[in-house]
Amino acid sequence: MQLSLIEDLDIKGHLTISKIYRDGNEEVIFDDHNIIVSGMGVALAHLFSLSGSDSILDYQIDRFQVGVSGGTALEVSSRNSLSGSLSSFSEYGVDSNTFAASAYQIINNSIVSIAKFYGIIPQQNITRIDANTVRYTIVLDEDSCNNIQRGGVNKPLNEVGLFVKNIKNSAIDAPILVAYRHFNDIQKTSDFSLVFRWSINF
Amino acid sequence: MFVDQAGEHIADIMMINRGLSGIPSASSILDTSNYTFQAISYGKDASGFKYHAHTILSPSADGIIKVISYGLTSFSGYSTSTTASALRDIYKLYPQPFNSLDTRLESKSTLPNFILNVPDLGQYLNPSISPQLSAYTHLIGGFPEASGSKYKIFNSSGQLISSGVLLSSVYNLSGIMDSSGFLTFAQASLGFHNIAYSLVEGSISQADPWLGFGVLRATRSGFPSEVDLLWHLPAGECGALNLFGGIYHIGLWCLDIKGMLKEGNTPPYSFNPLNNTRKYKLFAKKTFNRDLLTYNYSSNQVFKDLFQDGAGSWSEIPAVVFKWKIRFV
Repeated sequence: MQLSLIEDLDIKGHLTISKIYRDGNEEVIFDDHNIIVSGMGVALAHLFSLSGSDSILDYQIDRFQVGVSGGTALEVSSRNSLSGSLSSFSEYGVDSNTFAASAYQIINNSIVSIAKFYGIIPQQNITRIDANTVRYTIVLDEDSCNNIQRGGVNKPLNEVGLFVKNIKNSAIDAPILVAYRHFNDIQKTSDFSLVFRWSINF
Repeated sequence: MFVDQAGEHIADIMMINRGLSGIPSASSILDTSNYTFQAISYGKDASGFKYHAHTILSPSADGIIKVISYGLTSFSGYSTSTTASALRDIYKLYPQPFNSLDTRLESKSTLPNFILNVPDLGQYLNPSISPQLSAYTHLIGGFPEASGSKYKIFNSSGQLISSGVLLSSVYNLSGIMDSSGFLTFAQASLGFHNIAYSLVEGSISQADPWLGFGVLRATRSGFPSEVDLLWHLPAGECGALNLFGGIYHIGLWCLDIKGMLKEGNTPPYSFNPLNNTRKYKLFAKKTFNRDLLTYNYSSNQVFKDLFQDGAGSWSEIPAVVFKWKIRFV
């Protein structure tokens, strides 16, 4: 059986999640691998076949989603979306420093034209660790993603995903999920920031 | 198999500064075509560059490819041939095995016996289009001249047993391979690639213009899980490489855009076989423990019938077709 590029290069990721309190104390609450999903291969296939966007920037991981319906069972390579991603700008935080954007999403290689909401990863938060490793640092500050409710009930954050920007050159960006991870419930409040340090080894 | 550099290449892509999109003079750097597959190359075991038609048989300046056949007409496919038996005691016959750290097809020197101005690139070169090297194409190998190359085959006693002219080099007639031995991809839209792939995958004739279009990349039924590559090794090229020791490696290359930018070489990076300023970076490589040009000798399939032009009835093999499926999912 011929290995795919993802398998052969052994592309993998590692995620740590920390709470950072106002006094500067940092508490690491999660430290584990993540799941590289099939969207990574789909994105690279579009790039190397020249069948997608003409701009290389559209093949970059530049955004994320967090959600409230994650689970271990969802950590499979065929996963193509979060189960319960945040659903508005206000959920990402009106007063926060997290820049949120609305865009479509690619599901099963098709653009689903329903607005989804993403946090944008600032350029300065994308750093090279070594020749093959890039680290994405996502900061949900004290004003971000607090007191998320579904059906009038507070819901903790428990899933996160990384997305490639817009491989199909859609007029409205249509990101595709490339990495996913479920984590234990975190009830986000204004008492702390949440920092995701996500390293992808290509 | 993919080499570590492939991962580095993808990491490079992920690190490109978004701010470049706001600088008109830098926007060409962001063109996706700069980052995809751009070339194929061929190689064999490093030691083999000292043997086969690389052996300098007198006279050395006559422009004729000369080789000793230790069997009836067996040069390539030496792992099972009488030529193999003869050479096995002289040097190791097998290519360097795959290593994910590879940056070229063979890490050891691939300089032939004739070394004046010859670059050591770890693969077959295409000297006939180099002003400095063209007069020594018959010694350096491995591709014929655009007009076809003369050859002579001797037995181990030094007696001439066959001679002729190889078919013209389609690669050189069409200008799709540079002097370093990089065969370029067809410079056309994906739509063209897809149509061309469908047209040529079934059958091909010696006169077919598709032979000279370069490597095709196609998105077929397996896309987006996989991308299909297809290219030809026309009969003249087959014949020459057979005389020079066959094919044991195939390399898939992207542009080394980071390296070129560092040297002040900015896009567009158009392909020019006569003066190719492109630098390439190995992305994937396939190594075989058997020569891909092996053929089973029979009285009906002697060398000249397979690859010779002119009086010989040459057309049994118009081209070898390569199909490489790149899986992404």
